[in-house]
Amino acid sequence: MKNDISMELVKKARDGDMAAFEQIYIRTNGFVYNVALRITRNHADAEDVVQEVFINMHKNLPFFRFESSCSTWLYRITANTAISRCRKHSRETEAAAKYKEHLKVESQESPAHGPESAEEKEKIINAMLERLDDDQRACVVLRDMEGLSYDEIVQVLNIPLNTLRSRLHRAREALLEFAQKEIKP
Amino acid sequence: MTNIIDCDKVRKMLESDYLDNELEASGRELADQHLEKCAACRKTWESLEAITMHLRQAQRQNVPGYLWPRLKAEISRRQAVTASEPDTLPSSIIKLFFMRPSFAAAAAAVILIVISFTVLFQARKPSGAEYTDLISLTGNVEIHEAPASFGSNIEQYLL
Repeated sequence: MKNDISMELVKKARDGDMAAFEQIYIRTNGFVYNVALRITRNHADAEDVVQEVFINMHKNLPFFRFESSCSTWLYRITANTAISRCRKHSRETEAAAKYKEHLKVESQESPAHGPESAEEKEKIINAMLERLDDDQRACVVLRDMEGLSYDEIVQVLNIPLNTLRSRLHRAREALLEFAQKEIKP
Repeated sequence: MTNIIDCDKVRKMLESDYLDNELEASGRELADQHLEKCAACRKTWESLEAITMHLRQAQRQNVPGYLWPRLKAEISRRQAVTASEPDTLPSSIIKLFFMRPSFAAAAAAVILIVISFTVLFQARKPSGAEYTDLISLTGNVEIHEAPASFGSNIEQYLL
């Protein structure tokens, strides 16, 4: 798993060295923020998830046993925190409503072979992720956007391999359906 | 030559293990053979590849710079609150057990030994009937009551 943190640095942070904790934050905040953002699809929620994840990490560092890698641990806290935030705010947020509004326009305007600008690409990606339930979205984000292997995702989400396969299969069915309906000329 | 596996099975493979390079060589070969012959599955595969490419090329978003100072301030605030609260005995013991696993193991060993000795002592203590048998074996003619009624005798005497 990429972005892994040395045991030495974790031990320093565990002993109260705030500079070491800052180093861990600097090295890992990118994936924590991006996973949170893709799962929640909302910048404000993603920021809250980042804060919650690192506060949780700081509080629990004394209990970290090095049985899994630090990154696996962080991915796990991030995915769980983001998913539970989504479930808590299951009602439509303002941002999600905006996406849906955009989607209506997008489906009328999208060219045959995908969007042109980075901004349009981003909107399509978010519209695709919107189609998935929270569990499927977490699997797709970890696999396709973070590039984690099946073994790593199984460890992070603490689910059986066949559950992961089934979630990915159902997620991709939904994405195929979306692509056929929405990104056709 | 007919296809060995049907479209439903191939589609399932395409949507998970095949797409993610998690399929073993023999399964991959079967799927490849099917894809060569089946236009519908080939089309599905092309769409899946396009969708996945989209997701994999998603731009990484930069973390806002103001998050670290905010986080640091929140950690300091929580530490100050925790420091001002006196540790209760149960929480101190729980912390000690979690932070020092060797201490927890030693405490568990002591508890186990105490329990073992208690059980052993209880098992070896003669019951009233056994006590009577022991006296008769020693040849003592006078049969005493078992000590189980000792407390009640005193009570009777006092009464």
